[in-house]
Amino acid sequence: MSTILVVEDEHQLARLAELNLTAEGYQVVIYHEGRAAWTYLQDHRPDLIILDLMLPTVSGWDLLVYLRREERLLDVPVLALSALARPEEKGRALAAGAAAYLVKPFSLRQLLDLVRQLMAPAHET
Amino acid sequence: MSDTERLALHAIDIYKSYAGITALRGVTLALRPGEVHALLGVGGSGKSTLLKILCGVESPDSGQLYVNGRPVTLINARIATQLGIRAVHQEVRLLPFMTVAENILLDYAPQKRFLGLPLPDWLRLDAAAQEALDLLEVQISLKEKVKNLSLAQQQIVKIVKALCARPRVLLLDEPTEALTEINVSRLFRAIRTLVRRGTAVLYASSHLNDIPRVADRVSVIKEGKLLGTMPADEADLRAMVEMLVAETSQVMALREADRLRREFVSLVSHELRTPLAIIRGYAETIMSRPWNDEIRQECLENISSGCDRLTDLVDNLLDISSLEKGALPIEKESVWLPDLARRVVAAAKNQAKHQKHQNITIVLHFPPDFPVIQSDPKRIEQVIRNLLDNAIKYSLLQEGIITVSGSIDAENKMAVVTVEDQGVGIPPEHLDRVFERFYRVTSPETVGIEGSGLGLAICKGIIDRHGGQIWVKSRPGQGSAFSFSLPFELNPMEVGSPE
Repeated sequence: MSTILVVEDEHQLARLAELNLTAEGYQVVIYHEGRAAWTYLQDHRPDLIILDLMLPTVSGWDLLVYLRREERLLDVPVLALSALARPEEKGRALAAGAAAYLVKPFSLRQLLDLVRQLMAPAHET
Repeated sequence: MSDTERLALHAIDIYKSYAGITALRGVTLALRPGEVHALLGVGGSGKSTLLKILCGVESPDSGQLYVNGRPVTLINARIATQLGIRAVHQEVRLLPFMTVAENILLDYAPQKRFLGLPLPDWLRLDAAAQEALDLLEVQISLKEKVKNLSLAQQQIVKIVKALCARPRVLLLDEPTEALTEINVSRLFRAIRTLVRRGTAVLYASSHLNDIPRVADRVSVIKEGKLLGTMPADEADLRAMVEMLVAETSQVMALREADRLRREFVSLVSHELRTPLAIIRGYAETIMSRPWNDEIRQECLENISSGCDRLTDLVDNLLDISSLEKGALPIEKESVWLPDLARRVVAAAKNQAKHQKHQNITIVLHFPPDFPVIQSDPKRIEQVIRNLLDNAIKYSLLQEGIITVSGSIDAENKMAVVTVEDQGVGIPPEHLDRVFERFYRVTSPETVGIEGSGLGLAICKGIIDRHGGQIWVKSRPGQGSAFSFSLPFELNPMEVGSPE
């Protein structure tokens, strides 16, 4: 079963992802702040990371940079979530190594479609 | 003979504002006969305003002018003209369809009488204009229409207009702006000739390089204030540039306000988007598949709490806008704060259970003899809730105790409420600014903590409106204590007076 790591400090949004992704048949692991998520990643390799960019302790931006420096995690796609709607923020996130960028409020369909795409990149290309 | 008597023009403590914007703040400037006095300043520094006041085009709000040692009130330009003051303004245009001579006539009108009627004395005008043109080493036909002249020639005609009347005081506002280098040299030679004849010239410029070429003395003006006057040959150009360029606290404050405002827009956008994402996400979740009742209920509760967050934000925005207009409604009634605080704490505990702050203990401590005060219960509840929310928010994810306590300042007849946490605390440099609207403390620890920067500003507004005070004590890493005080009168029940 594929595992998705969700790092989102808004508990209600994290729960939203958990509810729907579990129903889709994924295994979901949730962290509400950056440092704990980074600790988890030291000995786990999820198939996808859904990462809110504004997090307490270690921010999502920082976490993204750490992730892309770690060879072991290099292939794990990151779906960035953010309340920042400006195009330069999206550009910055993609440049930092995010595979996709969703602006809140996103639609559930958008989220699930993106998750599906990112989990099966071989079929897409 | 006093100093003022030896001066061609003396302006003392001149103030001028336009629609609330202060252009001049107490400018004092002395212009000696036979000197070129440069007034150096960037655009918007008040140069043009000062020149307009000195030639009677504008009136100062306050201050005194002396011409040749005599106090004068320049109620209009005509009076200034009669006193021998002439000006060349930046923005004044010539009339394009009239000849050079006709344009000069508007400013300099020598008259002769013919059959008892006053007529323009064109011969005298021509002679005076020609003399001025010669002085400037320029050949322009007086019969030429102005529209056929180049911009540089038009600028020269403006100067000629001023020179024809042989002014005692000549005010020049950026006269070299439209001129080519050769004409600038000619103008400077002409100015030197004029001052040798005793004319006083005030030369306003934003060009530092003009100063050593033409001026005897230089005054630096910035944001409506004269920073200093010095002999031009001794003037240290570097020092002058520094005077002009260095930002004053006022400009920095404006920039800061602008930065906060922009930050506010992005914060509000974030604060709107998060609850919207919750509402939209859970609504679409319910619709996406046949969930069991328990999950449907959970979704609905989340939608409802998202709506509450949006409502709070809208309320805060409305409050801050009322506060700005000084119109925040306050309805006072008898309130016993311990009871009110208990309700706020109970609600907060309930909320914290569902949220990310499960390790926080909230302790309530009020003395039993706490007085009943006259205040708006909804507003005071809002303040306590806000302080408590902040305390919870800035405790981060740590375990911690938050104390909500009351005390009595009998001497000042004040009831004091304090909300104290053991959270991240506030660095000392931010302490006196946390009550400003839009202001948010940014530090590595607080990245990701949301807020619009409005809450404490609203709290301060509410407490101010009650005649109380709000303050904070904090130590980074140890916690913060926010307190507010509200005045209390003796309980009317106890003194037994109905109203």
